[in-house]
Amino acid sequence: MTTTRNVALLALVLAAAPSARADEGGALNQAILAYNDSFNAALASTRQAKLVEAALGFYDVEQNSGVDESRFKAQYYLAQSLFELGLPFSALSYYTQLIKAGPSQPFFTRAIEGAVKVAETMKDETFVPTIIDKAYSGEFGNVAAEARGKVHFIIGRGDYRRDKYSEGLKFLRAVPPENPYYASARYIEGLILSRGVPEKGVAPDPDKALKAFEEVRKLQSNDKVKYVDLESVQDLSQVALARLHYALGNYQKSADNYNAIPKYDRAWKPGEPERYSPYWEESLFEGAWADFMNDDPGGALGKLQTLHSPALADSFQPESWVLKATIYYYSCLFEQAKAAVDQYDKIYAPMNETIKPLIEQNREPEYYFNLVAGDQAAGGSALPVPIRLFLEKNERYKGFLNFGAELDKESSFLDAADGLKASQLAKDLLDIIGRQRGGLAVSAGKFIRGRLKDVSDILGNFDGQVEIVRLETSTKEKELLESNDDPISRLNGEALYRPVVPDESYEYWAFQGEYWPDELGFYKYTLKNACPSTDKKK
Amino acid sequence: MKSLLALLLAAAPAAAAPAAAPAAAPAAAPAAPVLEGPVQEIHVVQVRPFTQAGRQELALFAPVQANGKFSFHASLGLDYTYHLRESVGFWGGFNYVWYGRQSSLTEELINKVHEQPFAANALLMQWMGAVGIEMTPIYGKFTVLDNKVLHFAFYVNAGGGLAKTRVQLRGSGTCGVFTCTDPNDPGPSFGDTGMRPAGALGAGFRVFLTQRWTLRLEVRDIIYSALVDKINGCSRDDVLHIAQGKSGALGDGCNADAFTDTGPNAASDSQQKNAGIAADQLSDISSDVINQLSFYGGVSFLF
Repeated sequence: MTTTRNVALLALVLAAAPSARADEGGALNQAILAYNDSFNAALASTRQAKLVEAALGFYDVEQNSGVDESRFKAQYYLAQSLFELGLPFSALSYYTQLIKAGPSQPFFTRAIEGAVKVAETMKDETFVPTIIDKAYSGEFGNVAAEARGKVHFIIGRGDYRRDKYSEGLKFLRAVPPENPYYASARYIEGLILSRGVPEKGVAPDPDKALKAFEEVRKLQSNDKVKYVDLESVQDLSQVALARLHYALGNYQKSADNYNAIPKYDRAWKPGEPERYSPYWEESLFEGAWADFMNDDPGGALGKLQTLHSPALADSFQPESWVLKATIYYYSCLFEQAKAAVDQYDKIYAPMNETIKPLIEQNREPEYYFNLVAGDQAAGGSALPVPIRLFLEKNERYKGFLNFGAELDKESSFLDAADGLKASQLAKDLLDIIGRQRGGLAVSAGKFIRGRLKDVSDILGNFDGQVEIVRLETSTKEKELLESNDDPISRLNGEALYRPVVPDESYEYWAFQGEYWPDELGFYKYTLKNACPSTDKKK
Repeated sequence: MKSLLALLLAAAPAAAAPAAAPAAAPAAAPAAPVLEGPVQEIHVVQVRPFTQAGRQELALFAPVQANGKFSFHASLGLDYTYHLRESVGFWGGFNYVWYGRQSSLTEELINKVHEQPFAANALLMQWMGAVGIEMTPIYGKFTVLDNKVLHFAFYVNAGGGLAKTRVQLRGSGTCGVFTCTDPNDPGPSFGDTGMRPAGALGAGFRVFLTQRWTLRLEVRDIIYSALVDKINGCSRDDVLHIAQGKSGALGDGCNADAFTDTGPNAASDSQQKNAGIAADQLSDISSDVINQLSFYGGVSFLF
């Protein structure tokens, strides 16, 4: 890193002097000297002071130079100085100007590389991808190999999100294995191949999709490449494998893959308060479906037992009660099926009644944003806790929060940094940040309102499903009674065995009504089946 | 606290009790059948958070004798266990007794009423090595400190080996565990009584603190035969000769020099005096089976 940086600095010094006018050259060279000195400063405060001096110098040239080359150079190094000061969003505004100026100016490719660094630092999946996507041209071939791979990933991911699968695949496949985003690119490629859009020229190819997910699961960072968010991408690939096997009807493999999803967050260590993997709750619910379809109702009910335990009481899982009722329905255990739908009514029906008026009020976007992001301790949210937590977990919402926090951080810095505060540069940047902050709250608020509407629709849908299950249960119960069948004798004749303990790496405990934190995720039911043999689910 | 008999579980499929025979129905109208027992049960089939199978274990103990009537031992113990399965392992252990003396009761008997237990009853162990087998029939867990779950296993072990023994000749006098009150006190003296076959029976708990470290708490009974017919390889006739300062032929293997004190406070006549005490102890050839019951507290490392 140091070597690369020093080479860049040397090039800057050599290139600056002959190209600038004498008056601008002096200012530019002084800024360059301050910029260079910042890397040699032993103290952080000295380094910051040098970078501020450099930024103000570059800003002065950028504002006043009549020579394009000097102005572009000043813009680029101003962006670099701001980035080094820990102001990536501020830096982005100058990288963006250079990118918009087009490939004819000499700092085009370096601005692209800078913008990619900003996207990585801010974990931005909105602004930089939009800028890069619009600017993409053959000139990107001159971008450094690693940054070029990142650009291809950013564009490919954007295409995937916009359902432009065919174009997305081309960009994602252009990310080489030695690129830090290769794992992520292969994962998204697998997602595209899983689904496919034949009408858009992408046929589903489950075999290739499975291979992509398997490959991601086996990837390991090494001396040459450190894959970005590898553990998280591998967990996602595990989920994707489970889903794909489910879609293919390989329910056993699907269940196995769901079972392999880690319970605990990767960063969690034994002894710390329980912190679960972000994919675990979803894997419990979807895994329950896989178990059910795999003729393992005991396994499915066991997973739902965890999902409905006090530890996950605030989890938003309305369909889990529908599934529970369905499992009992197929075992002709009608009392249990009715109890499950009653439980759904008790938990989820009031939620929809709470959020419907909020949506219908159609208030200003900031109101909806604050429903989730506002201070919950000071008066509490109007949202039911499971819905608020469900929205909080949304990746895009998290992106809004992160971006807002970054803007606040930069704003505070610009207001307080010695030498920079009250400068015209700081005023300009604060103005940009202020406008962005306002727009962000509006965008986030609209997003939250949209998601609330989705939640309401989901609940409305399940309200209907619950009524269908209730009706079907009553109908089937009535049919059995009228057929002079004797389910009670059949149940009395069945024995309840303990579930199989696969091997000695497992241990058995009887569930006695206590929820032990270490047992969550390992429940298993054994249940009787009251259906006549001809009715039993195959 | 939860605990289960692993062996019982492994052996028994634990079928539910068969349905009881229905009660005799009234002749006129048959009663509607009544549901007997639950239609579902909930179980936990959990991946073991701590595994032993296929792993090795090194344990460091500080055993302290619990039944020290005529003698008292404090040791340092090192055990090695190879866990063949979760519930079965092989172990080998070595105990070095860093403090083994006759008990205060024995000292009091000698000092006040000039009586002492038979030598075999007060036999001291210097070290012991044994190998054996370990079974872990019960596992369990409990919560401590704000719901932190600690897992434990109850185990029993048995083994056999050899113990090196000796008898105490001169009393401890003013000497305690580490120092003597009287700086001129020569302290206790000992006579070698040789190697004895020994057995060990133990039962204890292994509390899993981390994947590698466990806390070990155990009670172990070390059983060894005690037949005292020679001290330092010398018979009663030999020690009488030595005690009387007579030079003459001693029996094969009799090490007269071993009766001589070697410490800084050693008296010039220590050999005769020690031999005299040995002669008293050999006046009645004694034998016994010693049960040295000790508390073992320690830590172990699994790898």
